[in-house]
Amino acid sequence: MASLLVSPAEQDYITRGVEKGIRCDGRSNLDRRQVTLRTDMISQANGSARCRTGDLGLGTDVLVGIKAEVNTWQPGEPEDQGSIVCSVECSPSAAQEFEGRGAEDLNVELTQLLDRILNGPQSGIDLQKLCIIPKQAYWGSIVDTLMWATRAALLSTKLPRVVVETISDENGDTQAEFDVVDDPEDVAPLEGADNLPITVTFNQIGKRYVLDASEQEEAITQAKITVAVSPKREICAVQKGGILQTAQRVSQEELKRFGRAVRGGQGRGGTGRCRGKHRLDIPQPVLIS
Amino acid sequence: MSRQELLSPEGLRVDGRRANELRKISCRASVLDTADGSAYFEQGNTKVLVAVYGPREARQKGLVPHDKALVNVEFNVAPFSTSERRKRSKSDKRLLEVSAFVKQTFESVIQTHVYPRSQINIYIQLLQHDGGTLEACINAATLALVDAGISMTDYVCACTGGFIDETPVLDLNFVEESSIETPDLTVAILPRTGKVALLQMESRLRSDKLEDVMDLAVSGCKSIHKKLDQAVMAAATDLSEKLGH
Amino acid sequence: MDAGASNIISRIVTPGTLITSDNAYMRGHGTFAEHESIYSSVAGAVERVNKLISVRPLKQRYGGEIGDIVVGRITEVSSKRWRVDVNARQDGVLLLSSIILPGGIQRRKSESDELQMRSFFAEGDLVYAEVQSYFADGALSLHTRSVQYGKLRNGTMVAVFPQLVPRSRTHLHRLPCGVDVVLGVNGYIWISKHVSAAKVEANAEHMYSDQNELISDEERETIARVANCIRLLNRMYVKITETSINFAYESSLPHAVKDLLKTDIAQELADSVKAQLLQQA
Repeated sequence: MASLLVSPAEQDYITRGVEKGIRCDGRSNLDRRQVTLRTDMISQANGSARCRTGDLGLGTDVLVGIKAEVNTWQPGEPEDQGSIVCSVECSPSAAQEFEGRGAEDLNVELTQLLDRILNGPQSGIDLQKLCIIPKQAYWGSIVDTLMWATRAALLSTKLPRVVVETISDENGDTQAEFDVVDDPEDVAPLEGADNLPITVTFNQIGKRYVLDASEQEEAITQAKITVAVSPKREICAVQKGGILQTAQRVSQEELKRFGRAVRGGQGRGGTGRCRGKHRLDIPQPVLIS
Repeated sequence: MSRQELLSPEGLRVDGRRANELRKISCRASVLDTADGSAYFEQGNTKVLVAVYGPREARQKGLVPHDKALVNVEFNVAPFSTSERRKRSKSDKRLLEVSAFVKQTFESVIQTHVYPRSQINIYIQLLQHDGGTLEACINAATLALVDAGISMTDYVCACTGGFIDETPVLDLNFVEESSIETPDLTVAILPRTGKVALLQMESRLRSDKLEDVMDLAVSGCKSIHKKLDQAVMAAATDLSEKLGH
Repeated sequence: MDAGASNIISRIVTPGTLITSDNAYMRGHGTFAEHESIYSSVAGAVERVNKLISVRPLKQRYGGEIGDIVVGRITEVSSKRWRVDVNARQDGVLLLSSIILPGGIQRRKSESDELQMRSFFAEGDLVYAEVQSYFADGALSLHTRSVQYGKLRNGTMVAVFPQLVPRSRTHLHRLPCGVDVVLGVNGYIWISKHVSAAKVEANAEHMYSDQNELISDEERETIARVANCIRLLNRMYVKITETSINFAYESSLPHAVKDLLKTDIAQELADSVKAQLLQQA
């Protein structure tokens, strides 16, 4: 991403603030902004959701559309299951840096991450082909907002009923055929969608980590790590690195701390340095429908 | 597949409208906080989001004329916006065509000489497509440009017209637009002077009918102008009151 | 529609609206002339100064005036000049000859200064400056030739609508809560730890340092609270002045700093600030 300019004095101010647990907008390191979710806004999609992190228009906005498509089986694909095709696009209407090909790297990275989380037993979904295409307004902390929106969109997804018939031809061979019922009322929710994971992203600033980074914090992040956790507290995916080339190594010790912090998502634990004092609080999103 | 009845014997269209009826329009300015100006515009089921950045220091310095601003337009289509999911490349000819039309249209009304050596970026995002993309893009861009406080000599208002079963019809939706026999005429006018800023037609139309279709489309533009002006007036009055003028 | 002077002003107009056909008037910003009539080119309120008619848009990027106090961010270092983002339609320019060189106001610039421009201001640095003049193409020329101007440290920046920051005699305020704010009329506001003028002068040698002072936890909390108060005033479109910031700060004290950006609390605080401002007037 094109760089947001931050002066050395500002960088020092933010870093020392994080060391002391007081961020520029008054949050402590593990505080998140308010998460707002709204579902079913795109009538041409099978499921859709919009997720906003942050209030008062200061935050990240993601729109996700889910489309169900019947696909023909290709040799080499698993025979009895569909797959989820992900595509993330950052619109330049969200941030000028995304103009032209400016968002390509970020798009690929987010698409791959989403794909890793959703395609496989960890997501709990086993169905026909689904497509996920988010679009967003950017103001720091994309991944987590994206995952909230995707999860809500999949949860709101309604698939048309499929009728499978077995037809025998004159030779006695049987053939299976199917019909997609074209009735907006005759739909079923996506099975297993409530097992979908959400992600928690930590940004390293100085020697400490923050949750839900602001745009400026994102710009001076040295390393970041995203962990996907399911409601059953299983870790479904881990991704380290981020958009920045300056990403540093994360030590094993720190990784273990993340594990503890994530497990503490329901109320226990915290990151190593502030264990016992702060709890990792994942707020319940406000649902508007 | 049999040809779908686009106009019933009672004179009603597939979505229940009369021939000279516009789709429902709703619009709102200042919807994005990162942009200098923005607008969300719905015309029936076609939904468009526009962000305007600028006028600001030009990034492509080589392209900027020394005596006026550079207007830059980028048009994106969300993959879920159409009934069939399709990923479009940014160099898709249809997308570039829409960008070029919008750019040409607005270069004639933006007072570019007021902003020498600057750049004005217009980013259009189609969220849902149900016909009349170009008209919705132009109307939304007008609203976003006014919201950004960019000097313009006039609004630009666009509308489509068509011709079904010997009847001129206003503001085509996707079903009507995709029928091969229906001519699809997009007109953009400058309402103050009545000048035509853009005229584009697909399919074919008997030349003696052009005037009727054109007149109808222009009347649609005028109704849209009224809607846009109301939205701008309401937003301006609201801000003015908040500031305590 | 030949409007007399009285009903021309403070009317809200939209682009393309005829303001007057009386050719005794001159057209100003936000208007254009056609067939000897004056039309509006933006949406906003009509203003008249003597014979000059202009329309002030309610939202627009910063349009500079000579003498304005601004906060800007260096975007480019080039030969003998810096380019500075001041939220205007073009980047402003800060000439090497328009800054105080370390070693005293009297010192003349030398060739070695041209070679070490980044040691004064580098890309990303925030600068507190005054608009000195215009260039022919409309770009603003800035200067920092005063001890209070120069590089900004010890705090954080908030960007607001420039229309909300009125021009006034002073733009550097020490708030009763103990922090300093620089209200740049270009909509960039700097909030920082208070550093006394005496200390600034004593440290003249280090005027281009990137080193922050030591800032206590209480000072950080207060800076964050003031920053969030300014953010909420901006979102609720309330004029941002020393007075309104103080009102917002006082009213915000019962709430935690991080809660100030929640819609309902922000709305409540903005309403309270507006009521207090009205009472004062």
